Amino acid sequence: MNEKLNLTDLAGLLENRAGLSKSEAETFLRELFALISETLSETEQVKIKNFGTFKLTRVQARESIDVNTGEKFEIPSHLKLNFLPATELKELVNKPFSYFETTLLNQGVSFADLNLSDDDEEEMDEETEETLDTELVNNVPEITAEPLVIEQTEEIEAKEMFSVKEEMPVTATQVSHVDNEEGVVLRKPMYKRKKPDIFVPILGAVAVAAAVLFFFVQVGRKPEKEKNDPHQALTAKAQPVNTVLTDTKMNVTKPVEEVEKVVLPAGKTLRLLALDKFGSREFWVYIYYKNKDRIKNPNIVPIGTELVMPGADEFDIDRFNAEFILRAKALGDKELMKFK
Amino acid sequence: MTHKDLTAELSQRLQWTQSKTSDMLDAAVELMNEKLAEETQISVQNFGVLETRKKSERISVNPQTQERYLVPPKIVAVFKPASGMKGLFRNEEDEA
Repeated sequence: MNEKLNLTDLAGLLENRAGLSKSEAETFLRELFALISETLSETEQVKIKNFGTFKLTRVQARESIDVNTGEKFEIPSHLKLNFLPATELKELVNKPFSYFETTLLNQGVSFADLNLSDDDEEEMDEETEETLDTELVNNVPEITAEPLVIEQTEEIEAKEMFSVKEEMPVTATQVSHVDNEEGVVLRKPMYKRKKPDIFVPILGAVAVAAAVLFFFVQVGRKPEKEKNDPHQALTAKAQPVNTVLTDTKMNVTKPVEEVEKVVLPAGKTLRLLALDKFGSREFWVYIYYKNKDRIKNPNIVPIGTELVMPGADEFDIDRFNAEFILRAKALGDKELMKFK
Repeated sequence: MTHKDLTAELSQRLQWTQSKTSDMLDAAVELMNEKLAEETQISVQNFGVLETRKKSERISVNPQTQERYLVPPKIVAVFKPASGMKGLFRNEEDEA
């Protein structure tokens, strides 16, 4: 899975980059690492800018038991070479996961399947290949997140189809409802081209379920939403887009006015979107307000959802104003409480 | 030993100018960082292996408030010294 590089490969790559001969690059790297290991001592550490610090730490003597004979013996105090990556390297390496944040858990939330032991966090040096193997095994359950994403995309596809259907002029609510379901069923063959055959029945079922769910939830929620939330009403007034979209449910088809729209890409959340657009994660709540009719739960926004971006003048959006950020945060927390 | 000391010592050994050494070191560091970000393993004989590992998410508890936090998973760069290096330190200590 992972590529492996040795010093010679590294020298080859460095040669291209720094305009040196390969032998020079190799000597340089050899000298570099030799120098690091020679310099290291209990009192001296080697710090390389943007890379990290190599240092020696003393490990206290401790008792241990011989695995084969069961005899006790003492591991003498010794030195251990540690490497502390610099912030630069840490961030670069962690880039794929950089959008995760530490979150406060509510009471009563339990993760029975989550391995709480921190054993893979410590002491990597003594056990070599064995740890690698177990880690590989440990990694397997984490990959299970992927099928979930696939399921989500299925749902999105269903929704997309639903919206396609919505744009067609239909007269009565009842008729349109039936029509939607039929439309979904009729379009089933389309999936055949895209996905393997086993998915077709599942997809069909998911599509029908999503369409029905989507329809009823939206209709059921609408009055409650407007009553509860002044901001929703406000947005509706300021931007005709929202009303138009809720109207499609009543089967009045009008062209949707064009504003800045973003199709949610994979790996993005409302918070990240807000960070990109407005410079602070807390402003996500305004994106949510703006798209309330399309976001059932702000914690779960499917990939590919089309989101209308609020204008900076519509809400109090200014990342340099601490008060605005605090207000947005308070609003966001309030909204999130509804989904707990 | 700081970055500066390292370039100074290195340039002396290689008989290069300080600026050349410094540029090279920067390039090498940049290269290694990039490679590590691609989850590449870098192994250097008699020194050790630099690689990345994934740490799974965990729940940490603030001991004062008992609040529980879900700490997200992360990828970290780790260094595993070569076995030759370990021996080196033990010997060093024996001599002392």
